[in-house]
Amino acid sequence: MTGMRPRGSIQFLLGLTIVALVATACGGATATTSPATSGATTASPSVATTSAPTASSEPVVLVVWDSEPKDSPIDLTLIEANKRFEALHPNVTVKHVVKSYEDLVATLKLAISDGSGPDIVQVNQGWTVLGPLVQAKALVPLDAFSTKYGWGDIWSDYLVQLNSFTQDGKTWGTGSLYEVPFAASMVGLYYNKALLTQLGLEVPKTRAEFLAAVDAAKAAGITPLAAGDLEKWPGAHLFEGFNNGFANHDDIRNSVFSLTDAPFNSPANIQTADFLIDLVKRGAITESVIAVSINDALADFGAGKALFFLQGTWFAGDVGKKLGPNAGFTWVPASETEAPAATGGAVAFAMSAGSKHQDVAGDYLNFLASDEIANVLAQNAYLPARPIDEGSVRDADPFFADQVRAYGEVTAANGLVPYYEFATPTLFDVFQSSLQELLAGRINSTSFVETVQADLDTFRANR
Amino acid sequence: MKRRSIRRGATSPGEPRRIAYLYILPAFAFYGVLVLAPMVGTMGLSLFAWDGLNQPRFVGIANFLRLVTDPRLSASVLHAAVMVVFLSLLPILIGLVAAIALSRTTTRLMSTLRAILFLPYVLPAVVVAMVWRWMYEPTTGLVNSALRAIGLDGLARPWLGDFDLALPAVGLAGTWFLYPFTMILFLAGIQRISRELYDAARVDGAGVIQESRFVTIPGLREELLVALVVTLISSFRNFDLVYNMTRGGPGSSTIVPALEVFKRAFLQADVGSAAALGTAVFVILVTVVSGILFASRGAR
Repeated sequence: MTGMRPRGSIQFLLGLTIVALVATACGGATATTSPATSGATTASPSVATTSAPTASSEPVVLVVWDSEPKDSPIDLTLIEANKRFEALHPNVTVKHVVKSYEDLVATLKLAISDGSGPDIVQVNQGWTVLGPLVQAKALVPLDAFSTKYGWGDIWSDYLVQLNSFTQDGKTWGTGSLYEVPFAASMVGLYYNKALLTQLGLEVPKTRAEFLAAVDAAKAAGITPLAAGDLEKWPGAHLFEGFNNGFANHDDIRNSVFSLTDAPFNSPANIQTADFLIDLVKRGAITESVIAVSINDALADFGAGKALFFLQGTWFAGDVGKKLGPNAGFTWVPASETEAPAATGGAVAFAMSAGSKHQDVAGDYLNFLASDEIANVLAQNAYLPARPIDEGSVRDADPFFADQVRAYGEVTAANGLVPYYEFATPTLFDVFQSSLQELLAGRINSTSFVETVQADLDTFRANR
Repeated sequence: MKRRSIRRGATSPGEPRRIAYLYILPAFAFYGVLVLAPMVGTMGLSLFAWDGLNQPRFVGIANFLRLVTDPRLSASVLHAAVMVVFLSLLPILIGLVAAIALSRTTTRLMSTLRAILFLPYVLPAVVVAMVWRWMYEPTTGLVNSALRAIGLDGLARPWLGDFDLALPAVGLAGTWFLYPFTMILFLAGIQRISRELYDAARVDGAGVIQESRFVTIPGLREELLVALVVTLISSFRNFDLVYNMTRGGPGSSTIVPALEVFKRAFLQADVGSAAALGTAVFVILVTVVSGILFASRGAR
């Protein structure tokens, strides 16, 4: 036994080494891609950009990559959509591959150039991923498909803008459509119905009503607005939520997409910053907000200790679970004359330039964009990017119906605007960090907007 | 023939040397593929502007110049230096005191105490970060509650939201996490020191302090060196604690190099500057550690 052992373990080790080498060689090829190889091969789109191809009936495997967590509403909806799509197209098998987002981005480019990539892929909009992919000609512009399927105005103008880039990948918010918006998010105001009733208040429709509710809650010893900004990103939505009531919505879109020189250091943004400082001084939001975790703020609101909670619809599932029938949602109240507005985005899908079945891929995207699949998503209690009829969900889930209504009203008023964090690859960091300084009273509203403006200026100058 | 047999007799017994290289080949292959190759790759990338997808553009040392001109980058390195106090010096000091105390207690109590004191090191860093985040919570957290309970209300504050105290607050969590490592290292070292030295010291009338100073600490030279090098490296690599406690906030008061590298490479599509920062930290560490090793050899 002892005589056998060394040889046995050497063989074992050698075997292990070979396995490991093979495995790391595959992984290494993606993770440690050297500059020389990664950019050299540029996949060229084989689709004619003037007319969209039509589907044939030969057997096709359609590969779809996304990064949504297992059993999440979007994941469940995609599984159902794939099933239905296969039923409609008996020759098509949909292969649904779920990857972590970092992995998806890291492997996508190489997979597209060596032909092993997906046909359909979930891509985050913006300068860090969609822009470089468009620039690398890794994605198919979808204009021809849009014409073919008549996507025209099923989404808000803003969502089309959000998913558009010029074909050189240099200008965002205009040019060709590259992604089909699927699931939407919006920042809005959650309220506790039981506490509103207890205080004898209605759902606030204007900023004045909101402030009156804040004072009433304060007087009754209830936290008016539960907030936490320890994680740095939540505070941005607090700013954006109120900003829509001060700033011109076209200005916000033009500023974030850098379509014009629309500045961040505008009077409206200074007003918003001052409004936030005022809320802190009034004791309207959770004390020491930058030291409180957003999850703790959510827990407080869910436990009925706070009247309002201002965040994105991604928290709706948690809020609904905790508050049950007392959960309500609306757009953030603005001035009397202001139309409903909200900051929002969408999970969207693009078509890979490496796809050999662009006709089928187009049909698939069109199916994801359909009213039918929007309603499946709604049944899973997640906002579809294309507005749906609120009545269809009102009885089953009044809280979700609140979200559908708010989103529908905002869309109808052309009031959807992008997150400021999108404006440059680095702006989220600068914006969120300076906002913490603003909330802590370390800087004033002017130096806050100027710090963010400086980042925007640097980006615009070097673009 | 004769010469050959003499030569053979002169080498070490057993298999020839060449075979020995074969034995280390698997380990070296791992090291080469998993450590050396990415390291060289990273150093190469630090000379390019690269978004992670398109053709990289050679920019020379521009990324390194940004380390000096970009206040966020230089701040992250500065914060890492502060972290050395909390993640290296303090754990060594506390570990040393704990090891000396434990080595002087009775055997049964010692093993129980040792287990309890070692506990923090068993926890994943993420859990440590979560626990300390709860402890620092402004209204219900243990730290502020304890301060208020003993009448020190004036000292209670939003620790992780305090621009001046957040870095030390995160650092202390790291101290608590790391001292067991040095403690166990020193305990093992103390057991290796000859009992006779202690007996002799006691005969000469030495107390705890003198015994530690003249017997224990000199006897722990090697362990102290290992502890210093290992904790020094980990204090520059710290990511989990900061990411899970403050995300670098408030403002940018707790950003550290590892967090900046992550942010730049994966969130800002700025792989070149991430690689430059990584390379710079590597160079700093190699310089400091070889300085320490060199000094210790000179002192021996």
